[in-house]
Amino acid sequence: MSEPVLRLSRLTKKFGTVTAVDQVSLDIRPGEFFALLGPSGCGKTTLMRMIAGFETPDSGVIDLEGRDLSPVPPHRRPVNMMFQSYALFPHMNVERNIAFGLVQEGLPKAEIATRVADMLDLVQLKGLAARKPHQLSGGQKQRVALARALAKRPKLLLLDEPLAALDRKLREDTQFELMRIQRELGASFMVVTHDQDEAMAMAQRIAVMRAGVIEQIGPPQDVYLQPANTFVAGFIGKINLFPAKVVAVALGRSRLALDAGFEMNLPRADLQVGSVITLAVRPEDLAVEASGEGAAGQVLDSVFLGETSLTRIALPNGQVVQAARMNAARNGAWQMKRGDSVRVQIPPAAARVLAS
Amino acid sequence: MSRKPARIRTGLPAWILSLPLVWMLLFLVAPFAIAAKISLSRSALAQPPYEPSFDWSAGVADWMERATQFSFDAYAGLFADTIYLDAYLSSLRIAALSTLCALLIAYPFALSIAHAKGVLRPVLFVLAVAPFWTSFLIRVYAWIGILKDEGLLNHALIWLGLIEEPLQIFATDIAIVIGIVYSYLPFMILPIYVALEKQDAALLEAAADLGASPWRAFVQVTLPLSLPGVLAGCLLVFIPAVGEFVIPDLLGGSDTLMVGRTMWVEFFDNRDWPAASAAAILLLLVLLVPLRIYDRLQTAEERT
Repeated sequence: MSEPVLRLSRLTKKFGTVTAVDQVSLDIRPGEFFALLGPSGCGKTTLMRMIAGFETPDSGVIDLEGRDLSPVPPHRRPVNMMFQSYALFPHMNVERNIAFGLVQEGLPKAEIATRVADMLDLVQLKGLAARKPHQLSGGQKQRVALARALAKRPKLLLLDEPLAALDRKLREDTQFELMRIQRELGASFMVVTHDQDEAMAMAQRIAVMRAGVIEQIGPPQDVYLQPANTFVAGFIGKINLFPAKVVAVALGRSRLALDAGFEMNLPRADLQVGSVITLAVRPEDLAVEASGEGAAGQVLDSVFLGETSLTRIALPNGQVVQAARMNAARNGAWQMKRGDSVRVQIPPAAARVLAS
Repeated sequence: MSRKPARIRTGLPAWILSLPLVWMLLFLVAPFAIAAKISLSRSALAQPPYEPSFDWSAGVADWMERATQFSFDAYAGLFADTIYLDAYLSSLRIAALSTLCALLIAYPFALSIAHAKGVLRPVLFVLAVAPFWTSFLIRVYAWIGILKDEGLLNHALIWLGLIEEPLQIFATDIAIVIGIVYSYLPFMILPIYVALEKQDAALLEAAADLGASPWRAFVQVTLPLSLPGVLAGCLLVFIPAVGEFVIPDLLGGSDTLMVGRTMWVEFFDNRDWPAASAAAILLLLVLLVPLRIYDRLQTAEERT
């Protein structure tokens, strides 16, 4: 594997008594689309602002292609950032906004004109070069901000909540647009977002952050299918958590007694007899049948969401679980309604044992 | 693409919205009409000291008869003697110099208020307008004590060994400029501060991110975006400074020519009301020029 573009080692930032970023280490690989995902206030924006140079870390190293960025002021750092508010210069037209960074470099006029034209092409804004920012729609502003940040051809582009200000439909289109542009340029993109769908859709790797600490880094599939802990499991998608006790371990299997009132086998031998664990199961993995094995449950409600239906089921111990079912025609019409008695089962292959 | 902003519909009764109109009518249009009328009259040994004067009870025929006596003699008089032209030019020069000095002091002042953190910002803001809590007249008098030959400033400079003989500042144009700059500085600071304060801090970060040093970011982003405030501040200082009377009267010398003083002399010393009125009307017309320019710049800004 090639050398990382950016390497953060044990980066820490405190505001007063609050540790916003706590000993964070991560690598960004060349040409990678990386997402920093977390709830608001988790320190992800502070982390990004330290890379851009707007915050000074208390300790740790920011290493860009082998060069320590700590003593470098923001205007000399070879990374660029797309701001959440876009921060377009209101007194300059689209062309001058995009050219701003190139003008600072002192490039020849002809070169600037070519590169601005290329950028306008890339973000599909030809013909709007003379517009002022206040004459643009939200989506157009977003593209200008992107073009402006990319005009300097940074090795690493930082994007702060790039889609947050767009409406839903535009957000989905723009996701694919960002991915196309990133592929075309081959630059590394680092997106900060609180939206797990956005991170899952765009990124090759996701870092999930909570309270200044990175909880897990990995490809979307890993983070979704093998969450490191209950926080990651709950933050990325919906999840059902079943507290359980290990009653026996033998022949490569463990026997679990779930608080929800039933027992099941798990194909794992590395659990301690008598220990209490948490089983995490995604709603789409939960098996719900009209009768049979498993916990007896009662349907609380069922909502139709288009491609899926989401059903909430109350178990004997009072726990409420969510089960999702695709509404594909081949699944047939098996509508659940409030009050139906059902059986809930956990397919052993779909259950994850989590540290809390 | 952008048009004139749509009229705001407040839903308030029309009489409230017409209040400014009534105010302008009473305190701007009516006095202007009176001054205009007097400026068309001739000086006379009478009470009031000009003619024609109209008798409300004399009837329309008498009015028409007296109206024929109106003339532009007072205006012709303004151009017959270069003292008026000199006074206008001197006023414009002093006002322009004062505006420039006020701008150079006010801009960094406004910038530091806008960039101040936490409670410091409102404190600095209040301090900037605090001089208004003392009467304007008293503050200008205080400058006499500072600037006169044996005043505070000369004492301090001699004590510091910077000069040996007292500087002659009091009763010169420099004293007037100092007085105007000091008195009108808040009017320059406030609009610039407002323009700077509403700028998105992310703009400067974006400029830095794109490779602009702090100085270049200031020149290319902060400064152009604050120009409307600069322009408003310059107008608020320049226009009253041109017609200023108290400051040149108290701090200026006997040979100081400013149009406000010239009018005073015509009105009170020479009792030539038509000449004073004509000078006032002319001043108003002269001051319409910078206002017109300001208006043009504003519409140009809105159109792009």
